[in-house]
Amino acid sequence: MRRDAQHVLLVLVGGVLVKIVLDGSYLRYVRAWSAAPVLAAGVVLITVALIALARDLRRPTAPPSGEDDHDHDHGPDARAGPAAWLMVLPVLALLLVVPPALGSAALRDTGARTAPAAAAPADEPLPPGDAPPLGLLDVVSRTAADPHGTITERDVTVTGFLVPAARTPPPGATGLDVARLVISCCAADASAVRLHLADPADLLAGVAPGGAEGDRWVAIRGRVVAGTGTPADGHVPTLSVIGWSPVAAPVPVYEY
Amino acid sequence: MRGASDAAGSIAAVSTETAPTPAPPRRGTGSLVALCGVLLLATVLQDPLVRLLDVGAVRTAATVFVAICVQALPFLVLGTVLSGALAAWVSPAALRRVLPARPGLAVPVAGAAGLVLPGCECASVPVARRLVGQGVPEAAALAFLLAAPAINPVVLVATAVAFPDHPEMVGARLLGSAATALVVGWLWARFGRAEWIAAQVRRPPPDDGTPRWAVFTETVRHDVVDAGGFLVLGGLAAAAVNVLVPPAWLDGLAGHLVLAVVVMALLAVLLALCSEADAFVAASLASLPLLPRLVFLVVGPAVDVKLIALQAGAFGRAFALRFAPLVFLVAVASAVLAGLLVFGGSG
Repeated sequence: MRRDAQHVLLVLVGGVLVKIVLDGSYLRYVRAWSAAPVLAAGVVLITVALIALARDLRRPTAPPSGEDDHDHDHGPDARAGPAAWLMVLPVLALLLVVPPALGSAALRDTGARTAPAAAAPADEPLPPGDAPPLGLLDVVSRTAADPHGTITERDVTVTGFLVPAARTPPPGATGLDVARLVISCCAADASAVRLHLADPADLLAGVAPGGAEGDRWVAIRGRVVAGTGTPADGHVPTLSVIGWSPVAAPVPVYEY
Repeated sequence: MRGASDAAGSIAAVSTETAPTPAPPRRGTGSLVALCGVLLLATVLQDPLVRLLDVGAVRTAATVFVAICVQALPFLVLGTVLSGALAAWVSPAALRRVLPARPGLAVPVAGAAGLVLPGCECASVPVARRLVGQGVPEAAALAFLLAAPAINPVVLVATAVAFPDHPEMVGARLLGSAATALVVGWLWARFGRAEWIAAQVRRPPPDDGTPRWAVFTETVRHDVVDAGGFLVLGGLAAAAVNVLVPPAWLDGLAGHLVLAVVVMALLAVLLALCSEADAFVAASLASLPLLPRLVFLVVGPAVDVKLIALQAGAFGRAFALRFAPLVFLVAVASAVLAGLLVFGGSG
């Protein structure tokens, strides 16, 4: 790849990195703390490409582009040449396609790993208020630490998307789970956390999980059934549904 | 490529060695036209492209691929910025003063330097390449390459957070990864051959009066162009594996320790997870004993598809073909020994 094309490509790569941070779509791929590094990387790429472009233009006597056609700086086999073209792929993906965040389809396709149960401090008191909102990972961690703890004595509100239960649900639970994906670095390491749903008041009758048209996000008020979320059920507690409402996909879409 | 005058000089040098008749310098814009053509074609075909990528597992793979690129590019840029700073402001003589002259001693010193540089594996490849370019013994640069992503404070803290019930995992990981870096470094110092590393790596930056800041920006630019494509290649491979390997395979491994060690070692190579995230994935595979999960954590930052692609780009294919299998074997052996030492029979 010639020098002038390299400059253009680097500006494009840097440009899409800046773009996804500014429009917020970076949260589909990485954690919120990555905003600053991704933005900085984009700015660095654009800057070094523009400086090189300016220096090339100021030196019209020596042809700036022709020399590097076969990338002689990299030895006779010119390895770096063709591979650089691959950088077009993320540019096209982010400019034209912008792949969606992982959701229930990822659970079906890859059967995402189950999240570790004890990644969050489980012994802090529950937040105050009526039915405090809790992350699914938080609920799973608390029941793993104590299946009969305070988490089973108060109502909580959880947000996630509906999916069919992966394995046979325990007695009393419907075949429906509420799930969320947890990432620790980027979407490549996504793991699923799930709660089985018990539905004594028949509130979820006829409600189906999201399909090809997208995930069905819900906020569920409920109470964790005491004694669930142990190694016996694979650390998937059962939540008894008291009320629910459809919600938009949260931002960020993943739990951390 | 560091300035046109140097490029012209290196052309003359290279072509006398390799090509009987040096190609006359051409001034064209073929690459630029091709790039515009690709962009234009993709824009015209946007709708079919979006539909093509919206099918089941392909959609998941596309997201994972973009995620790996977005996640790794900042670290790669950080690595090239460090590499550029080394090229512009740290003379080979200064590095020689810091490092012991004997490679056998330089290896542990360079490995210890990895302890304090919190970067992931993508950042360490351009830095290690630049260290070789600045005259650091190859064995020491390779020890740094292996140590920096595996045993820096961020990774060790992440491991401690991911394994709250098994704090000994942190020590075992530190031990296994440090042993991998040192053993590979010493083996390379003893048996490595200079010609395995592509010759252009050792060419120091030109001293032709180019201002320091220009050497810096040009090195950053050049290193990103060099490595970026290979990073994308590794991301493609890892995204494919991420979708194609059903995790149900792992459930059947619980009773077979040796098989589990082998499978987890291969999985670490194929998944190409960031070294700051792999501990959480290992922790989630709770059905497996600790030893195979430790192997996963020691092998992953040392050798994976993304790293092999980056190393082939930075040091040449001849290097990657030898280095990757060597590191894989040493890392598995170090991890097993460290595991037996730390976990004893309980692993």
